Amino acid sequence: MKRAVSRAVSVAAVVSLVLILLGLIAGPALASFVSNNCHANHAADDHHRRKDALAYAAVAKWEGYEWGGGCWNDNNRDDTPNAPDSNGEGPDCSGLVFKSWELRNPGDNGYTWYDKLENVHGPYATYDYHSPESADPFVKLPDKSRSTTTYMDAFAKNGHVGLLSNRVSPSSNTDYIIEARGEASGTGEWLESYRYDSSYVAVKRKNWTPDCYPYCQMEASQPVVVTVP
Amino acid sequence: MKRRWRAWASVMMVALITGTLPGLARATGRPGQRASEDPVRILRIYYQAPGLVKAGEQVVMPVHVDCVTARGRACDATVSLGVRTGVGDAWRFQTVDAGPGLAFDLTAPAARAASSADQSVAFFLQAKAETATSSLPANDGPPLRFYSTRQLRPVRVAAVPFGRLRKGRTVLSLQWGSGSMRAGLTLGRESPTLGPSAFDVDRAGHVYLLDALQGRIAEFKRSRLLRQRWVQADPAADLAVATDGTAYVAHVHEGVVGMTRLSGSGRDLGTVTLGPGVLSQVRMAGSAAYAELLPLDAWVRVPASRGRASRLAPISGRPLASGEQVLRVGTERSIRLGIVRNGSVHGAVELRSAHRFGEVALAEPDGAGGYVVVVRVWRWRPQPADQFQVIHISNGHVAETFAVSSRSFAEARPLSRFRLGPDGRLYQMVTGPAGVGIVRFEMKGES
Repeated sequence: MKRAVSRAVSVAAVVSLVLILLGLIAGPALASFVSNNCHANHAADDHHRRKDALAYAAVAKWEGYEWGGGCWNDNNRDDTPNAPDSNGEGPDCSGLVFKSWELRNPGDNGYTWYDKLENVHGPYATYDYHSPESADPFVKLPDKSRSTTTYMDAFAKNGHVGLLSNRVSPSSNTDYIIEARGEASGTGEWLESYRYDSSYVAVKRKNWTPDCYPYCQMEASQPVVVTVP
Repeated sequence: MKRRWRAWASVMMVALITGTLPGLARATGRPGQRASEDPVRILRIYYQAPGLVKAGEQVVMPVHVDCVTARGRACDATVSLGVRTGVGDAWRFQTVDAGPGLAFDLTAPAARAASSADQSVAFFLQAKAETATSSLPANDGPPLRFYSTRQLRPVRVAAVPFGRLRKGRTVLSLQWGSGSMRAGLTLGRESPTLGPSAFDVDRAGHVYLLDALQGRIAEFKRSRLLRQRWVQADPAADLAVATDGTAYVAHVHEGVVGMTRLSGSGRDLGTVTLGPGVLSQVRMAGSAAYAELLPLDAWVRVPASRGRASRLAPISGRPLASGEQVLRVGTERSIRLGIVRNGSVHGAVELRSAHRFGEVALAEPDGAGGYVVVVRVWRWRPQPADQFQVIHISNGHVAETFAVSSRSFAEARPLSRFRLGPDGRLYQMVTGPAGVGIVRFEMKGES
């Protein structure tokens, strides 16, 4: 009896060891950036200014790219380089816009803040940004000139969308664009000429809160021009 | 022996149950608690460089400051502008809140500069938020500069109807794929489609293609592969090749611009870091390489050293081997060009057209006192359309202008689509569903 128990314990120990070793080998392969780092954390927001969207998008810079993804940290490097479709770090281009703009589902122009570490992409693909429907919380702008667009508007075509980073342009008459540019480039800020490419349209989020909020009564929201003597 | 074996197995089982194995600890890990403070993490200044202005006109310089905290929130900042006109003039300072819509009116300094000896206004910008500081140019470096001239010759450029395109001659054609006679392509999936990012042409008409997706610079002579050099670069890298064959590959990694040099034989001569920023372009001037960096919106000479470059002096215009600079300022309504020689502006012109201008894809001297410019022109109504217009300015007049296609299958760098070869011909990188090509245009009465 003792011998039988001892044999059973030995067999159990060997099986456990094999399982443990298998676990050690398989564990890292099964674990992903998303499973290791990302978690749900979001809340309804009562306002969202362009400068809030810019601050949010700026944190995503240099954090990688994942098709259909939407989770990243803020260490300024791609933690899953050259690992496509691995539940890796970073948004894709449409996911970056969704989170930066604090969008909700069609028919709702309100705001939902998502933690950067919440793996959410949202319901909109580049096709939707390029050809918005009336219920979508964003709208196509009448043209793409500098007088019509401002920072945190987007340029979209069927296949890609990027956010206009700021309201100044370099002397080459290009634009600073924050975008998720693919597995090899990641997410970051590049010089682009989407504004002048006919395949792109300009898109604006509906219902932006003015940048002067909550001090719009006291502060001038008009442009400030400082004269240098 | 058996007892030891059992004990070890038990320890492993306990470890499995309690999750203390390193791999499991990583799997269940959560980011730690954040500090209660929310310090400034990103502080960056963007500005619209006046570049070249006309004495008497209003000069307004928009400034935008990104201020982001460690928690990813927008924060408040102030921005200071220091301005000096002429060597003997004192610095004048203005400090204001960096709110939306901020701009500095520099009309008065520009007017003074037009009548001074060096015709330039020196300036720098500095942003502050809590304890964080950011400067353009970087601290203790020489200032930025824009030029003011009394003579800015207006040049009317005929608008080429949309769709009336010159075809040029294809000098290189590669299908997409892998291998020495194909070019790397990555199809976009909620991201742009990317192919070769840049090319250059030498005096003999050899084409150098930066095929970053295959990790190489491929040199071709009339569609024949001469040699390949291996390089690691991102798909947004730029390329310039010196007369001795040295290749300069400008790239961005994690927001930092770097430059890798490769000898003609492919030996890695080292990488120098030019600092955080956005890469605009890289070009040769004689034997020296220069990079145009943003948001500095100025050129810097690439040091021959390795490692981190120190104190890069900003140069307003594209440096030439002669020591002169080419100024270029593009807007939707006009393009201004000028040559800076001994501190003053020469041959300044302002191009205007019935078309709206897009990006200035190329602006080079023609070697005879004129300019070769390639600019995208575009319209939104009645139907969206765009094309590139090539403009040759000679003696203050349009010597030649024609349009070429702007259609592309893969996204290219905005300022890497064209090169003016040392042979005086214009080269364009084009992409389609089948592959990539280099097309050549003669600048006088071609095809």
